[in-house]
Amino acid sequence: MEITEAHLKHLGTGELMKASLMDDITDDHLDMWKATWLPVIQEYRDAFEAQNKPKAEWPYDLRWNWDAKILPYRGQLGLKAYCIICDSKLQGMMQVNFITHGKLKEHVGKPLVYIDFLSTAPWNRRELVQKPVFGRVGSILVQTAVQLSFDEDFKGRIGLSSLPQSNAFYREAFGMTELGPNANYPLLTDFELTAEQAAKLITS
Amino acid sequence: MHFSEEWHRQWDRLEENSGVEAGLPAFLDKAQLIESNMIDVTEQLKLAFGKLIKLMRLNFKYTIDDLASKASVDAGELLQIEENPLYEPQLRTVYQLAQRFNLPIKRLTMLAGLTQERDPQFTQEACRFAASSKCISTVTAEEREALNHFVAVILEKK
Repeated sequence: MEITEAHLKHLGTGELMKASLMDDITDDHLDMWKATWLPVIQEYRDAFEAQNKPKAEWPYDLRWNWDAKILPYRGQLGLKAYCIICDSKLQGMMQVNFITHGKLKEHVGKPLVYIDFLSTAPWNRRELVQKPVFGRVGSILVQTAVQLSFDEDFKGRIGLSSLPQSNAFYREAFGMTELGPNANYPLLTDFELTAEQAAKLITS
Repeated sequence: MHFSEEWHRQWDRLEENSGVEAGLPAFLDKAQLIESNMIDVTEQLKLAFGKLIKLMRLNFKYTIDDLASKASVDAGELLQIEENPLYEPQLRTVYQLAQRFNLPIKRLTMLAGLTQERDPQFTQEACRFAASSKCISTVTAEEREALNHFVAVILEKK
C-alpha cells in the first residue's frame, strides 16, 4: 500500500493538518468506517425518521455499505480504492475504476478514470453538522483520480455521477462538463473532465 | 499532482458548503446497487405517480370514494396508489385516472411503472416532484405550484 502525505484544512482553526492518503481501503479502514462513521450516520437516519423526512431528501450516501463496495471487488484489475486518514480517523473514501469509457461526445471510445463512489466522514459535512471538522477531503480525492488518469495515460480524463448537493462543486471548482441527469438514476448528474480541463487544473 | 494553495483557497468555501459526494458505479451491477441501497428510479416514479393522483384528487376536493366513483375504479386500489410506493396499479385503473384528469396515458403508465420506456428529463422532473411534495390533507400553495408545474411537464408544455 502506498501512502502519500496530504494536508486537510481544520475548519475550526484554519490550520493545515498532516494527513495520509492511502491507495487502498483495508479491513482496518472498513472497521474504522463501521466504528466511527456508522454510529454518527445512524443518529442522522434516526433523526430524519423522527422528522418524517422523505427518504428521497436524505443524502443518498447515508445508506451506503462500504463492505459491499470494497470486499467483493478487492484485488480486481481495473479497480482501485483510496482513503484519507487524519487525526487518526478515517476522513474520506473513494473507489475508482479505469476500465470504462466516457459518454461525452469527445470521449466516446476513450478510457477515463471513473469515480464509482466518493464519500467524506459525516462529521465533515455541513449538511449533517453545524461545525464540520475537516475540509479538502473531497478535492484531494478527486485530484488523486485525475493523477491516476494521467498515470494511466488517459490525459487526466475522469468521470463521475454527482449526488445533488455536490453538483456546484464539480461544475465550478473542477470546471467539469455537465452531461445531465444519469439515465438510470436521474437525481444524480453525470460529469466528465476533458483532457483540456485537466490540463487547466494542473496549471491553476 | 497537487493543486496550489491558491486553488484550494479559492474553492474551500464551495467545497465546505456544497459537499463532494459522488456515487454510481460505471458498471450497473444490480447486486452491488441493491447492496448499496441506491434508490431505484422505478420506485421514485411510482412515488411521483401516487403523489400526483393524491394532489389532483385533493385539488378537485374529491374524497377517495368520490374519485373511485367518478373514475369507475376501486377505492381500495386508489388508496394503495396514493400511499404505497411499491404498489403496481392495474393498467385499466391508470387509463381511467388519465381519462378523469385529462392527462396523457403514456406519461401516466411510465410514472406508474407499467412501462420500461425512459425519458431522462421527464424522469428527473418526476423525481423532483416526488421529493418536493409533502402531501397532507389539503393542498398548500407550494404544493399547488409544484402540481401545476408537473402537470405542465406531463402535458409536454415544458
